Formats: sequence, C-alpha cells, structure tokens
Amino acid sequence: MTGTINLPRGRATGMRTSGLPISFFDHFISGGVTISDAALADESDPYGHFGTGFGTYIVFADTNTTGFLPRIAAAGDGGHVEMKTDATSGERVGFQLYGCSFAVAAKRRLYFETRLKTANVTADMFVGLAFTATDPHADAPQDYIAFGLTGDADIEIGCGLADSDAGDFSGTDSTVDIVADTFTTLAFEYDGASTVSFYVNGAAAGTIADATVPVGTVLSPIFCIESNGAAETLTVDYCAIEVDAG
Amino acid sequence: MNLQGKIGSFYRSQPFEFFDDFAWTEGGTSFQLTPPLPTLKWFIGLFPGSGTPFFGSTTSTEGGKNGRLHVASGNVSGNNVNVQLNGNCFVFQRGRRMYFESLLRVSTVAASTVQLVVGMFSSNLNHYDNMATTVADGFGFTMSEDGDLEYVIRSGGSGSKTDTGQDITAATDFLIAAYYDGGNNIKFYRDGTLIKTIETLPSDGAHLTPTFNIGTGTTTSVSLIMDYFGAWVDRA
Repeated sequence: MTGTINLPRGRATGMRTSGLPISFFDHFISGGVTISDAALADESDPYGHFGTGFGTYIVFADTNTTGFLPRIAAAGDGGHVEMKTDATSGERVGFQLYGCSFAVAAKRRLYFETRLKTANVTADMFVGLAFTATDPHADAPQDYIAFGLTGDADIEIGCGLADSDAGDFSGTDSTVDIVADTFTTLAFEYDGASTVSFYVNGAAAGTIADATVPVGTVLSPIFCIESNGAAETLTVDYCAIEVDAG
Repeated sequence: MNLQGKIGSFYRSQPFEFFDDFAWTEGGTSFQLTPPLPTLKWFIGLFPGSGTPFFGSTTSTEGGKNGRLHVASGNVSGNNVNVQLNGNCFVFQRGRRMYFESLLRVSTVAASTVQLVVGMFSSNLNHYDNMATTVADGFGFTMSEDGDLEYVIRSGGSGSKTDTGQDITAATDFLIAAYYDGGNNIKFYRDGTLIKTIETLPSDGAHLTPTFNIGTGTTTSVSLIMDYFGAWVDRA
C-alpha cells in the first residue's frame, strides 16, 4: 500500500476512539440453504453460518426431532434465517451470537432492531440482547433487554439485571399484538442513562426505567422460539445493533 | 449513531445489501470445491466435469491487493466455472430498485475463447451454456466467444443479449454495473458511464442472486479476477 491511512482529523488514535459507533448487522444471507429438515445431525454443519463448531452463532435446542435448527431460508426476500420446533410443549430452538460484546454502559447509547415473524401466536418467544442462555423462557438469562411472547399475541417487553434465578421470563405487555405469519419490526434503545425505550413497527411501545435495566453488563443478540403444544416457526429477516464506542 | 429520525424501524427503511470484497474466504471454506457445497456462501458448478479449474484468492503478485478472487477455467473447450451466492434472496419486484456492481478483469479477450457471465440471475447450474434456455430471469453482462461485452436480460425464460459496443482489454480491470430504477428501466454502466437503457424487465417477483461464470471456448484456460461484487435492493 502506498500513502498513509487517513484517520479522522485530530482523532488519529484509532477507530474506536474516534466516536464511531460499534455496529453489527446480519442480513442472514450466507451459509447453508439446502440442509435437510429431517434430523439435527444433518444440520450440525461445521462450515455454515450456523455451524456448531466454527460458526458465528451458538445454536441451541432440546431434543427436537421434527423441527429444524436455525438455517438460512432457501429464498428469503432479503435473506432470512428460520427455525422450527415440533408440536410438543417445551420444545425450543434458538441461537445466540458468540461472545457477549455489546455493553450496556452509562453515557453509551445502544440500539437494537430486528424484523421477524412467527407462524402462530401461540408460542413462547425471547428475542433481544442477553447474557448467554440456552433456555431463556424457562430460565431467564442473568441480564437482558428483550421482547417476549408468552403463549399469546401480546408482545411483552422486559429487562433483567442479575436475574439468573428469576425462572420464567415475565415481561410487561406492550399493548401491541403480534400477527401470525406477518413480519414485525422490533427495536429498543438504551439512552445511555437509565431508560430503555421499546418500539414495534416504528411506534413507541413502552419504556422501562427501573433497577432492572442491566447497566454495567455485556450482552449478545439472542433469538428463541418455544412450543406450547403446536409446531412453531420463527423467521428472522435481520438483526442490527449499534452502540456508542467506549 | 445517526438514526435519521427513524428510530424503531431504521434498518427496515434501508436497502438490503450484499458486498464481498473477497478479502478472505471465511476460514477457507467459502470457495471450497469439496462437499458440503450446499452449506457454503457461494455455490459452485463446474462444467463439463471438473475440468482443471483454479479457484482461490489471488496473491499479491496477481493483483490481489484489497482481496481479489481468482477463478480459472480448465483448458478444454466448454470448461467453465459457475458461481452463485446461495439463497436467491434478491427479489426483483416492481417498485423496488435493484443494483449491482463488480470490478473485474479477464486474462484474455481472444476470439472464440472467453465465456463470461456477471450479474443478477435466477438459479441455474450453468449460466453461460443455459443463458438462452433455462436461465429464467435476470440481468447483467456476458462476453461471448467473439470477445464483445454484451448486456443480457432474461424474463420468464426468454430474453436477449446485445453487444454493448464496448471493448474489453485483456488483463485490465473494468467496472460494470446495472441499475433497475424501480419503474420500467434497467440501466447498464461500464466504468461509470451509462451505455444502455432497456425497458425489458425480469419477471415481477423473480428471486435473483449475484452470479458469475467464466469458461473457455478453446483449449486456452481463461482467468477471471474479481475485485469485488456488491448488490442491493430496496426492501419490500
């Protein structure tokens, strides 16, 4: 390379001290697209986007036998990841980004946005930012900011701080309902102080500003769907996160 | 952080985009020629048979700065390498703009030799050989064995390719792009200059994906060196 790198004027001490936000975005367009539905073994692919060995995401499930683990949809408009449970209550499947890299810290705004749909309005769902978890509904993660479904159409919002023994996820009804098989945009913003504002389809859907806001933690995006007796499918269009640099 | 007043649905308002600068190949597996191909980022077809293709990142002596992908056909007439991004997730739909751009070079422009396809096309295992038959939908560029750079359109299983009148120089980068304006026009560009506007469109709702193919019509192996491929489409 000839010449020099043009660092921002007066800030030539590195990208992350230049004030640029830390960004994460996944359209879910790469990786396996033709993996069999039949058996989990077929989907334990170490090469694809959702590999169990070297993939970007940790995939988790219980003894799911007729659903399928997260996979890239074969023809999703704009790229989709989809996952499915079977029709046994308690069956779940989900994924979480490796590493907890997104800080909820004072004076650093954080923004999360995703677009997703569920096949029905009968599932349990947990979507947002959380400390590592593999069964987020029955055993809520230690720290989290999340949207949830608890067996009906009510979109719930919730935060948790040092909440590892809280048991079932229990949020507050946002008063907005999810519609079966219809994409919904979910977003939340932490203001860098004490308030998390939630949005559904671009409209305000509640705030949380109490001791449960997990300030001082580091979280990771997580998506989980769990059956209450029906076969459930969760389809995610994208996941985006921005957080002010420290 | 600049959410432009669209907080709560900011990314939803942005186009869906893809960019590969071929700076690395995801642990060496993105272009791995051995199974499990279906799990990879790019899906590869080799015709006929395997030929003797080369497939990998270029070295610095081959112009590999900033990441370049080097694909070479075998040296038997008809050998070609066909590559498509897995997923078919770019939907061509009226009212939704679509764009692609690629910077690339080919090793030769010798007559009867180069078989090139670059663009956004529906699924097919061999876009060069099947362009006039089973490639259902898409738009982009081709270089047939006469060495001319052509623009090509496929719509519901029919279409055409037409000489752009543009000459390509062997082993020299050229930039090609095409833009669907969301209405009735697709515009083709070479090195940033508009060279053709057409009003024939791929089928409404056709699923397309970034595609490239390099092959030979003689016993001369042909190399495609691609600096990058980028594409975006408005969200529904």
